[in-house]
Parts: sequence; structure tokens; C-alpha cells
Amino acid sequence: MRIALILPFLIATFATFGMNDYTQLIVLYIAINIILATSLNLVNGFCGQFSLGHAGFMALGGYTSAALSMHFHPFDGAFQFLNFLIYALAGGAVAGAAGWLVGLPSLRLKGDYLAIVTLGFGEIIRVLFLNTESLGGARGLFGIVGLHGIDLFGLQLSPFFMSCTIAYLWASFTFLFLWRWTHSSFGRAFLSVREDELAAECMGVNTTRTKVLAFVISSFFAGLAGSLYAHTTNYLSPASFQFTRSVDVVIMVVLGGMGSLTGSVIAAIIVTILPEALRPVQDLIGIDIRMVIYSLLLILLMILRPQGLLGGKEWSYFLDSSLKRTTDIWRRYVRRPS
Amino acid sequence: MQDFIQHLINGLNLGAIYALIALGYTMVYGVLELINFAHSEVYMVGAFASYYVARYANLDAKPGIVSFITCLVVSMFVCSILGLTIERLAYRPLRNAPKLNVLITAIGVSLFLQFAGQAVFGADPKVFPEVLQDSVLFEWGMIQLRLFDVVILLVAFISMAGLHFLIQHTKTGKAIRAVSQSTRTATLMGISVNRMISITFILGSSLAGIGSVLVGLKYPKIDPLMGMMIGMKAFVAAVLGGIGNLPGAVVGGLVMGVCEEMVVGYLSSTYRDALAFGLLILILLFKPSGLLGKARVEKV
Amino acid sequence: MSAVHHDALLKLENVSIQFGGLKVIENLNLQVNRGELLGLIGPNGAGKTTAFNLISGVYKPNSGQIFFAGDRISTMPTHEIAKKGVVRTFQNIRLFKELDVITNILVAMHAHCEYGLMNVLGKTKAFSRFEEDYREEALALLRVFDLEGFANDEAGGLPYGVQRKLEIVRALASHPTLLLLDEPAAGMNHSETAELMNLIQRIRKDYKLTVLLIEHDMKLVMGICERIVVLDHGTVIAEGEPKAIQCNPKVIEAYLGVEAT
Repeated sequence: MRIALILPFLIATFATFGMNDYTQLIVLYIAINIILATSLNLVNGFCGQFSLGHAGFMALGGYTSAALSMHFHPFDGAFQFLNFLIYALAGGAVAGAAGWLVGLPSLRLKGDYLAIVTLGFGEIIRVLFLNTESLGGARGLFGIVGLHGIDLFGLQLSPFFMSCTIAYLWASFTFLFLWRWTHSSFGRAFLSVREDELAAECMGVNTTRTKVLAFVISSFFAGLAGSLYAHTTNYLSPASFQFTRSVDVVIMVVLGGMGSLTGSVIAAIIVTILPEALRPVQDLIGIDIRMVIYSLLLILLMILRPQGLLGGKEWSYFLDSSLKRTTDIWRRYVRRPS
Repeated sequence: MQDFIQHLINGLNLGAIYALIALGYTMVYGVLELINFAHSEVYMVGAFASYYVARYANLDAKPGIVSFITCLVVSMFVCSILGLTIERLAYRPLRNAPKLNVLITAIGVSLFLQFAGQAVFGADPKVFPEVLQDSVLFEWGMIQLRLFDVVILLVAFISMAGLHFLIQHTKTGKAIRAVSQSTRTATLMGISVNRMISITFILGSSLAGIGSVLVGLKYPKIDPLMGMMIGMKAFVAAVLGGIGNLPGAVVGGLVMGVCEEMVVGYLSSTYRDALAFGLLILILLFKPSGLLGKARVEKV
Repeated sequence: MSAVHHDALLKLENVSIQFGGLKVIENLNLQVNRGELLGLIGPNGAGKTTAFNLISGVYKPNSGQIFFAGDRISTMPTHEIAKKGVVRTFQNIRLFKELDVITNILVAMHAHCEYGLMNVLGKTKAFSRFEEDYREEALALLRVFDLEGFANDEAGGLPYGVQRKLEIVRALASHPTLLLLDEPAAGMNHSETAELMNLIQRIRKDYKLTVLLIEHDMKLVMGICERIVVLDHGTVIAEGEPKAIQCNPKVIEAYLGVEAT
């Protein structure tokens, strides 16, 4: 918990002084993707439902947050970050409510059908915003307020530092929230729905409520991520919320391992960095084959290692098992029985 | 009234094309219970294949039936090969994997083909050569019946009739129907499931190929991302009619086409794409088995 | 012999269900008395598992009602029926295969979970205490049935007999009053079946259960059931004590090919 609070500041500090503009943006994207991937994992990985509309919830959160920020800023100066807290929560709430509306009727559909409904939902949201001129329409919404730099006891904190810190604070919060949730009875209920819905229902688990809950929580965080995205890039357009965005998040979840939160974090980092890391290849060949490699990797992943990097287990499992192996060796060879 | 009839003609045309592509989706779903996301890209590749062949054989210099049929054949051939390859390399290894995994793979293949298409063909749109010359066949006031309209309807009809014959009146068709009912039982009856699935892919992909040439005729601008929208709509059409149900795909496609034309004509063209998704969600919420589908009770 | 008045725990009144044109259950009248060990037998396709599905709420009857402890459960959702105390096992074992044994048990306890969102997020002392208690309860349950050693193993990897046992133990974790066992001896040999017979009788006594049992293994049925109901084509064709059922000509006719002992 303490790590969760300090880490964002560390990352922000490092990023502000150690990187150029472009890399700084990547760092922000990583935070946003972590929130997106871990929240989607809740539905796809832990609950075994297939949602392809994460982008739609992100869009809802982002636009709500942006719209709110255009008309409502109660706090000033050093407390302006509270404004953004309100915007983010509002974005999350709207997205969560949408998740409830969409989830309740759709979650009784079979796997593939749910995927299509959520896909359709995402697209409808996008088209809706595309046709909302007051929010920029197709051109997009420019000049969304972001965090200003502040002067803290003589220390000049840049806008980026503020944004980065807030972004990673949210990411930590998301991770902590989801971690605690999945390590509780509710988390076990999610898993049971994934494993065998009928059996779970017969054991007293309200599967509909469980699935909707997963959906609502997941959409809430997607909305939160959307809000972050809006205020840190200061620009929103429906083009950022296409189906490919939802697929991106799905890739992160699958790569990290469905049912592994730490896996999603790692995958989010990898997936955000990968296109940039492949840039030299692109420069070499001259044509943009990054996405080609990307999609090829997805196919290979599903055929060769569908359980993802961490195989659905959390990082702690590997630490535990290597710790166990070490103590076994210790016990066997060092502390010989007398 | 005249407007309406024109819209109806256009709608039926569009619907016929949707039906052709929808058939591909529905057939694959019938035998594999898989939504073949890559189908839309197979369609796209077909369009480009016939584009390149038409270009290099200078077919637009001699427009007419022969050139047109050549394009059709080339497209069908290339699409079939592509469809077969995808099935063999991406779907067959996952035959026993959880449905989610195959779905993700299908999306992966679709994306791969889109991006590879952009890399190989170039992202900017190409103009499909005029392998057939359009003309107004029949005019009545404001209503125009063009040659292309007739050709599209005719070709679509012949293709669908051919498919119907194959599925209903040949041994192969019967085998395919058996596989879509129960793969296990079909195996026990001595049917080569793999072979039937391959044939299904060939049939579905060929239809997509035909559809792509017809689209190339009427809307000559082709680009590597052309498959996405039309594929989505055709898929919705398939679900609308009842996924897995062949006549359903045709009905769904026609309904979709006509509805879209009407929305564009009488409401606003900006909502043309949203219509598809709106219809989809409505159908899934109220009658998931589709217009012609039968609700299947799961036995515990 | 005076009629002993029994307390009916489960009551099916004129229950019918059909799928398409097939009438699987037709005017089924069945009563299970409190504390009883009732066997439900009949040839394949008689509708025994369908009856279980109806009782547990997986299917809703087309007509008729089902009462449990006075409440009408035929209109309740499945999970509520389970919470009321009607728990079942499945013909084809339905364990949570990729989860470990102890998690399987803990899921069954979820319905009775006493903490909420705030406790979870805040990781309050109450939450930690409850989790510890639940874990202890689950382990204790496993210990009673000699399954404690498997606690952290993946359920799907266990030997067949252990899986069957685990499914029953999992059902016990939901604090049932009525236990429905669907062919628990399927695939077992003689010694395993004998063990199972002991297990069923033991849990009935220790956990004060009423047990309704579907089985094809006549040795088991005749061995432990106090009363037997015979189903054929979705309706009751005979009921009574094991000895009477064995000699009942209607039963023999329906069953053709059953070993008489």
C-alpha cells in the first residue's frame, strides 16, 4: 500500500527529468493502459465473459470528464487537482452506469454474442460522439484543460509532473482496488462463473449479479482511464475510440494472461512500448509493418501460449515458488539434520 | 413514391451483396460455431486480386462479359485459397480450444490481413477498373434501373441458387449440414469433418469473392480497410436472419440493405453505420436466435 | 401398521415439463420427507436428472409447483434455491476444474459470505478475520473427509474417485438441508462404491441431511435407501421400500436387465 503511494511520485520525477516530450507521453500512456488492461481483465479474464467494447466506456468517461471540465471548476490554485478528481469520478460513474445498462440485458447471452453486442455498443458510442457537434464531432475536442504546474514551497512542478503523478496514482489505486477485490470471496465468485456458470449458480452464486458487477466495475475504471486520457492529452476525438482500441486492450489482457492482474500490468507496458521499439525496424524496411508484426504475434500467442505470459497466475506466485525452491534447497543442503 | 422505389432498388442491390457475404459468416458459424472475423478481409483481398489481374491484363480496355467473368473467377479462386489457408493455419490448431481463444485468433487474422494489406497494397484507395460498362436499362420518371443493378441482382441470385442446390441436393451439402448439426456424429457416420469444413470455407470465401467484384463494379473505390464496415454489416445481417441459418442470411442481408437505404434516404446518412449496430443490439436482446432461427435449449 | 406421519421437506405437485414436442416429465408427484434417504431410479431417459434440474431451479416447470420447507421454489432463481438449502451434485462432475480444491469449497461458501465492498477495499480487520475463518472452515471440512492434503491441488487434476468425493464435500460447504446426488457412484468399482455408501450414510447423520439420490447401481440403492421412487417416461410408476420395489413387476418391466440383487 505504501509502495502504491510513493511509486507514482518516483515515476513522475524520473520521467520529468529523465525523458524527452515524446517518451513522457509514452509513460502517460502506460499508466492509462494499465488501468484499461487490469479492468478489462476483470471481465474477460476473471469472469470469463468476452467484452469487446472497452473503448466505448473509455470514450464515455473521457467525454463526460471533458464536458464537465468545460463548465465546472470549483477549486483553484494548489487544489486544482481536486477538480480533476471530480472529473475522473464523474467519468467513471457515467461509464459504470452505462456498464450496468449494457451488462444487465446482455450478460445472459452466449460468449460470442456478448462479444458482438459489446462491440456494437462501442461502435454506437463512437458514432454518437462523432455526431455530437458540441463535443467536437469528427474534428475532435481541443484544448481540454489539463493539470497546471504548481509552485510548491518554491519548487516548480511542471504540468507533466502533475499529470504523470495523478495518472500513476490512479493506476495504483486501480490495481489495489482490483487486487483486493479479486482476492476476496467476490473474486472467487468471478472465477467460479468463468469455470462453470451452472455449477456456480447451483452453489448459491448469483451469477447474473456477479457478471454485472464485474462489468460495472470494469466500465467504471475504463471511464476513469478515459478521463485521464482526455486531461493529459488535452484532445479527444472519436477516432481514438475505434474497435481497434478495444482490441488493443484485449491483446494486453491475453498477453499478460487472463486472470492475472500483474500480467496485465506487464503486458500493458510491453504493448505500449512495442510499437515504439519496433520503429527502427520500420525505418529499416521503409513500410509500416509494426501492426503486421503485432497482429501476427497475437495469432501466434493464441496458438502457442494462450495462457499468456504469466499463465493466469499473479507475479507473487512465481516469487513464492522460487522462494519456496530456495528454502527447500537451504533446508536440504545447508541445515543438515544433526 | 418514385423515390421510394429507387431506394428499394438500391436497397435490394446493397442487400444482395450483404447477403452474399453474410452467407460466408453463417456457414462458418454453422460448422465451427466461430465468428470468422477474417471473412471481411478475405473479401477485401478478393477485390484487390481481381483489381491487379484486371490491371495487368488490361481488362478495362475491353469491358464486357468476358472481362467481368474473369474478374469473378479470379476473385473466387484467390478468396478460396486464402480462406482455406486461414482455416488450416489459424483455426484448425485451435479446434478444441475454448471458444474465446479462437475468437481472438480470428480478430488477429483480420487485423493481420488489414495491416498486411496496407503494407502490400498501399493504404490509399485504388480505382477498380471498369470491366463492365454501365448503362440505363429502364427509366420511368425519376426511377432508373441500371445495368449494374440488374447484373448484381442476377449474379447474386445465381450464386445463391447454386449454393442452395449444393447444400440441399448434393451429398456434399448433406455432409456439411450433418457437420453443422453435430461434428461428433458426423465423424461417426464416416464424414471427413476436416474436408467438409474446408469445403465450407471455400464456398463461403467464393461468395465473398463474388461480392467483392460486384462491389468493385458499383463502388469502384477499393482500399485495404474496405472489408471492415461491410463485413460488420454483413455479420449483423447474418445474426439478424439467424446465425447458422442459410436462408436467414439472405433474408437478413436484404432486410439490412433495404433498411440502410431507407435510413440514408429518409433520415440522415451519418447514421447509416449506427443502424447496423442498433439493429444488432435490438435483435440480440429480443430474439437472439434471429428472424428465421430456432431457439435452442441447452441440455444440462 | 399405523401410518407414521412424516414431515414433507420437498414436495413436487403435478410437475410437468416438455422440450419442443418431447414431454420429459409428466404430472410428477413426489414427496421427500425430512431426514429421509430416498432413491430415485428408473431406466435411461426416464427424466431423473431433469427432475433434479427442476428441483434445483435450472429448469422451470411448464406446469405444477415445487415446495421446499413450505416455500414455493419452482419460481425462484437457482441461486436462491441453493441458498435455501437445496444443493446438488452433477452426473458429469462439474467441479471448478482450474481452481484449486480449497477454492472450490470457498466458492460454495460465498453465498453465506458476511462481508461487503467496504471491508474488501479497506482490507479491514473484519475482512481478514472472516477470510481466515472461512479458510479454516473449508480446511476443517476437507480434513473430515481426508481431503486436506489436496487443498492446494488443481481440482481437475485429481483422481476420478477423489473428484466425485470432492463434489459431495463442496455441496456440503453450502450448508444444505436437502442434498441431491446425481449418480455419485458412476464409474466406481465395488470397493469405491462401498466407501461411497458409508460416506453418504455418515454425512446424512453428521450433517442432519435429507438425501435424494439418483443411481443405477442397484447394490447401492438397495443397500442404503430407505424408500425408493421409480420413474419411467417422466412419471412415477412405483414407490415404496426396497424389497417391495425389487419384486414389483412394473419396475422389472421398465428396467429390463437389472440384476435382482
